Amino acid sequence: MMIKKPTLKSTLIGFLYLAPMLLILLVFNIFPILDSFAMSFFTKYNFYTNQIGQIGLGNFKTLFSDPNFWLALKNTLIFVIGVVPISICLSLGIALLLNHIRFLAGFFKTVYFLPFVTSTVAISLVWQWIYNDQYGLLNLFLRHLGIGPINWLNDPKWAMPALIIMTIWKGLGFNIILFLAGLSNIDQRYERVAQIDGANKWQTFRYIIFPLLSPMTFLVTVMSIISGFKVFDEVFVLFGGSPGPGQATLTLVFYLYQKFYTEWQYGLAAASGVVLFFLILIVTVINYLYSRKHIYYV
Amino acid sequence: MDKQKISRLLEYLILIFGGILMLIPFLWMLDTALKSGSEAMTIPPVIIPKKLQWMNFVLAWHAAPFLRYFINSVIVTVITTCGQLLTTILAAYAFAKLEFYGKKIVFMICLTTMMVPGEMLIIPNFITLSKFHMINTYYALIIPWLASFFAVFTLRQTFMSIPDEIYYSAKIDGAGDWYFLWHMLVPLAKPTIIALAALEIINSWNSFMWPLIVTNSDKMRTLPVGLSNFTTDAGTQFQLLMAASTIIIIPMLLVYIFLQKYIIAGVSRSGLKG
Amino acid sequence: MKVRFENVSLNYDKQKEVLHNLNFEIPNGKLTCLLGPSGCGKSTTLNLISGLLLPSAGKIYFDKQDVTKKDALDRRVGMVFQNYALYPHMTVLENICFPLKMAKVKKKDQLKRAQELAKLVHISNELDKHPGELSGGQQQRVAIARSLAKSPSILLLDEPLSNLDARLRVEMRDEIRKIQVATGVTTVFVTHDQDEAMHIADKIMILDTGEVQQYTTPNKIYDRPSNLFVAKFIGNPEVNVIPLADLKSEFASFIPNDILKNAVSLIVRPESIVSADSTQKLLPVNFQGKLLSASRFGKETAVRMNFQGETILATAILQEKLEQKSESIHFRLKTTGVFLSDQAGKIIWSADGERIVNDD
Repeated sequence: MMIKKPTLKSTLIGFLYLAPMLLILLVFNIFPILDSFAMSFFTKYNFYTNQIGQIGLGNFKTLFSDPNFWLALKNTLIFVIGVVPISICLSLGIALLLNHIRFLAGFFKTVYFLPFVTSTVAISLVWQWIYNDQYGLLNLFLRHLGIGPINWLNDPKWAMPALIIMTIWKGLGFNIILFLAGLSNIDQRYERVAQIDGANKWQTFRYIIFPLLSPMTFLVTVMSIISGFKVFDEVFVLFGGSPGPGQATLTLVFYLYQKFYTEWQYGLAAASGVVLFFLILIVTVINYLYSRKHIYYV
Repeated sequence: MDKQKISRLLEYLILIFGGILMLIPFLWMLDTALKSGSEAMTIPPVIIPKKLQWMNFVLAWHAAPFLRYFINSVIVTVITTCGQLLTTILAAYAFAKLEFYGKKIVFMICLTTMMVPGEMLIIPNFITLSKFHMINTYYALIIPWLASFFAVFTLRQTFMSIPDEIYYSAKIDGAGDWYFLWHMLVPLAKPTIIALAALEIINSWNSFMWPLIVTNSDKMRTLPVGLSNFTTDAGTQFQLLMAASTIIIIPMLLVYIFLQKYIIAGVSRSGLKG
Repeated sequence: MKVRFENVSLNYDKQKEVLHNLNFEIPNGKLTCLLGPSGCGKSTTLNLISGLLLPSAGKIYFDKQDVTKKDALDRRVGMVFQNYALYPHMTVLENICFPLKMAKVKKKDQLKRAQELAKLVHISNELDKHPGELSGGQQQRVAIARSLAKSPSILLLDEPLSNLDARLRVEMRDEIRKIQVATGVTTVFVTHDQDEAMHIADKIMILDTGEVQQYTTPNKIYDRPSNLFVAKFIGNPEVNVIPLADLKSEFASFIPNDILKNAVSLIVRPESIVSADSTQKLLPVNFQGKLLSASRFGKETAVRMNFQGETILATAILQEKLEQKSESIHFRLKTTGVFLSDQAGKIIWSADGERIVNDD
């Protein structure tokens, strides 16, 4: 039937098709979202008995007076600022090169994307080994350049850079693929017309390609920021289950994990989850507002 | 040599240099996995081991219950992926081709769940599952991942791109809705479905934080959690750690090599629709 | 199979009526065209016949049987869509066999029938290919074969030629006509192209704003349009519409007064305007216009002139005649292709009617 308007029967059928997904989503996504918000206001809560002792802003007060929380927030922001710009520039550059060549382009794509499909745990272990202060490959290489051994993973000064370098390496391929998709969507005729109009390569990129690519650049930026906010696995493995030397890599999600899994402070953990949610919400909203105003869509 | 050729050469040099940087960790992993214990711990490091220590893989495999982890990972990955595909196909069909009351509002509600970080859901989900006594069981590892609205959203786009006239033709030719879904839409959406399956396999296989939290015995641990646990036992035996890492990475490498075309197309598409 | 609509209406969401009170009968074994501009309701009418849409009110009969509540499958219709809607993942043979497979016809009989049809539509050599490998015309042929596979009670074609290029469109148009004649299947053909409809149809139904404007044979529609809309829609170039107010006296001699007093517009087909010295059958009126431009396109000369403040087009004034003359042109009207319409656009007088006297 070419049904243009729903009927009771078609509604029943529609919901039958949706039921399996909806059930899981309700129990494990929609309900938990509401529950997290609720829980963040329960100051004395025993989840086994489901007894709520008190409701209030206590969790948020404790959270905001916890120096570790502010440290986690600061570290997370440093991490995002360290990763995102470099990752965007590198992946955009490589995508432009890959878009330009033909021979072996597929092979390079495969190589650059490889880290994305590998287990974060396994590859973090490999990087732990690369960063090893005595036997690690990186220090061996630096020694040849005359740079003294750096205690990457045990020196609070170097722990964050180590985490950033590895994260950039792992996420590069994903961003490259997105940029390539954006580039392949740009009609090549623009480039040719620009060349006819007398633009050189840099000018073509600066005035034609880059503006046309801006929606994708923006998307990649937002996705990178959001995934940066959520970093956990890498920290956990790279620093052997600790938040780094002197808590140098204590991130927001790691803080949540600590409060929840090692300290059993559900309310506090839930409250930090709510903070994470609002951080991501802010990024998403800025994205939305900014892209409505400034992004030129083809 | 003219200017164009030089710049072309430069482009390739940059790409090759970058490619080597991307590959070094993998090569270093393999290299270490094939060294003897003392070779791994020499200063300066040995690059080419005297004798390839293939035994390291066997030693690592037996040093921890990796067989058990491996089986768990396979079970969880296979069931999660198949189950998620099933719920996704059904839901995507309803959203793409059926008309019913409440479609828009349900869709919008589901869409907002995509914005919520999964990390926020860990605590309530842990509590829910412990109430059902499901912690440290396959149920806990599988059930929460049986639905993904991202997958539904993606597949819905593909289903909608298939013209309605095909649906009407099938109707006129005598095919019912159910037949149409499985014999027309699903085969036609094969590239998207394979991409979704591949991405879910990779996700599920590599997933760490959730299995870490909901398992507490070797019997239930998956490979990433098992490997992370193994680091404490292995201590400084990096050749064994690297061998174990290799074992975890290789299955996804195979998935990637065989389904690369679909995976890259899938990731590209997820960017374009955004 | 005869199709009959009885007071059929359709509305979506109770807001606007898409079709108003349709009453018509589609004759058995003939090719009927539903013609009209986009949004006129022709595709909707076709979908009502197919059973893909159900009417909000009224009844639909196939012969004597009431099929109003039956779906497309029960009505046993065959349908060809504008984009062909071939199943892309099946071969041509599988596509043609599909309706038979659904009807659980034996494999052997499926093949036999498919080969027959492939021969009929000339695609016997393409059976193993996928639709993506075929040209537009070939895909069209496959779609027709598939729609005929289960020997439909009626064949419905929804703008089937719109996706083809001009030359192929003419070829497929004739091909569809041939197939229709060969199989004798009752066929309904939807198009917005009047030329296509005029060439292919036994009967044309012209629709606009959800209502039937006129329903008769192609030539009747051309010679005797029932209203201004039909007159304008059929024929290329479009008819000239001239306000009648200042001309009434000229027509008073041969048009009854009761008609003339209601007439507001004079409608003239461009080919019905001829030079004053023409020897054809002419109306007893003489006019004069001011030449604006004249250009020849192959066999035709398009003459534009100013008449009564309107720019009118004439295509039957010969080039030679123009050169001899100055800026002003004397012309007369033939006894065909000239009509008068009233305030509502209804045509109330036609020059080829019996009451017209030719006094030349």
